[in-house]
Amino acid sequence: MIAGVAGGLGEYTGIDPVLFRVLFAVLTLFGGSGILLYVVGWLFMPAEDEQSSPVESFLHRGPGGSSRARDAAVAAALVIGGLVLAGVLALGDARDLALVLVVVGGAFFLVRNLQERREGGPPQPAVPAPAPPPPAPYETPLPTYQPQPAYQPQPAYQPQPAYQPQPAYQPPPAYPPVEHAAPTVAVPPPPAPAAPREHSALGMITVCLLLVVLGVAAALTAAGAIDPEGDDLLAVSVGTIGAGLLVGAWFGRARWLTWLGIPLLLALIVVSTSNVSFKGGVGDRRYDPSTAAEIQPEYRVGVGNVRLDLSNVDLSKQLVRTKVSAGVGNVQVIVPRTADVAVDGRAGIGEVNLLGQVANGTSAQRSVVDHGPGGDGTIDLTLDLDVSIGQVEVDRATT
Amino acid sequence: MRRHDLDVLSLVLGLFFIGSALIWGLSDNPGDVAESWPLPTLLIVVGIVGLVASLLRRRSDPDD
Repeated sequence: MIAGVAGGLGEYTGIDPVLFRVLFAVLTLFGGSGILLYVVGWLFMPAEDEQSSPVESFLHRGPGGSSRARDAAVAAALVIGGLVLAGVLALGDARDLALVLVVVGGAFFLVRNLQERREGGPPQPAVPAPAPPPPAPYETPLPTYQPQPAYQPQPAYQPQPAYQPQPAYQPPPAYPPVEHAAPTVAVPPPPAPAAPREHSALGMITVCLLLVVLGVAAALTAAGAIDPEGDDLLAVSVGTIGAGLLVGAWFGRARWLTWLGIPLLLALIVVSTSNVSFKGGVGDRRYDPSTAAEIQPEYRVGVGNVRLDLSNVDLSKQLVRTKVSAGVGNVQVIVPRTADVAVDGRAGIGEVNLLGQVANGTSAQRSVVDHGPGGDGTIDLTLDLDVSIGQVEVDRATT
Repeated sequence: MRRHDLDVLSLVLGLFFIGSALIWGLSDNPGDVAESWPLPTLLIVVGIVGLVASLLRRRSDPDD
């Protein structure tokens, strides 16, 4: 029930829950296919206080779908979910996937910004503004304040009655029984309806600039001119957003870029410190070579599981070396029952289990030399196994 | 975009993001960032800049 958590977080902090949802989506993405379930589940489940599910609201503007923020959230989830899935299918590489996410995130904020501009204000915060007691519709604050003339003491009135027309402005306990001095003065001026915030193009300019920069980087990558890692692109993104904020310290207004920068910075830290390389694509791989010659020198996957089954390979003729690695996922190798093997296994975060010898935690590492029953004692197979986040496992075939 | 009074929040966060991007983007060994000097330096510098900026602003605008 992530959607509920995100909404609750939004309500608690007063920050638009959309941001939490985007964050959750980004985080979920690194775990794999959970995002699909999440998006589908959330879209088709009505929230507790809503009468219709987000999809219904979005399509039919049902009773629960009147709020602009909710619409924006639904639209964003649809766009992000769809494009992420399309990106996975079309590109098949998490590095591009990160790019897609950045572009989609930027586009979403652009749309939201445009929407605010058209409708004359940011979406109402989840936490009710404490100041004006009357339930003034957010868009038209001015008319509610017009009764102000009633504060002017009419000559015919006694001082006290002047209070009565406006009980809503003072909580009842504020009135001591009688003799409240100087009635003409005491009424505080109604909170000035905040002057419509000057809209600034700065945030949009920053996002558009970022999209252009990433687009150029992607084009250069496609042309083979550069070969950036995922963390390079993330660093460029975070830096660009920082530059936009820095300009906003003196010109324009772009504080909301923070909410784009934080998830990107978190992703940058995770990707660069875990040294995850997403090269190798996304998905589960299984390899069942039947001869030693078919064994490749290296197998790798960016996000997903690799299973290398060598149980049918005759390794007695020569020494075979191979490497298997995964960015995020599991590496499993099955060695022939009788082979003499030397294995190095490493996991940045996770577990290494080499023929029953286990290490886990961060920077987990094991080296094992294991002779199969009836082997001649010389090593037939060396394995170099590596995952950034996940599990390394080596098992011996039973037959 | 008109020039306005210094927005300290934007200043601090902007510096923080740029500095973080440089630290993690350029580091040869990002796993050690937390245990080397650039990160604490960044935090201290950004914090001091923010402190000084908000104090200066307060002085020039006592109503604030």
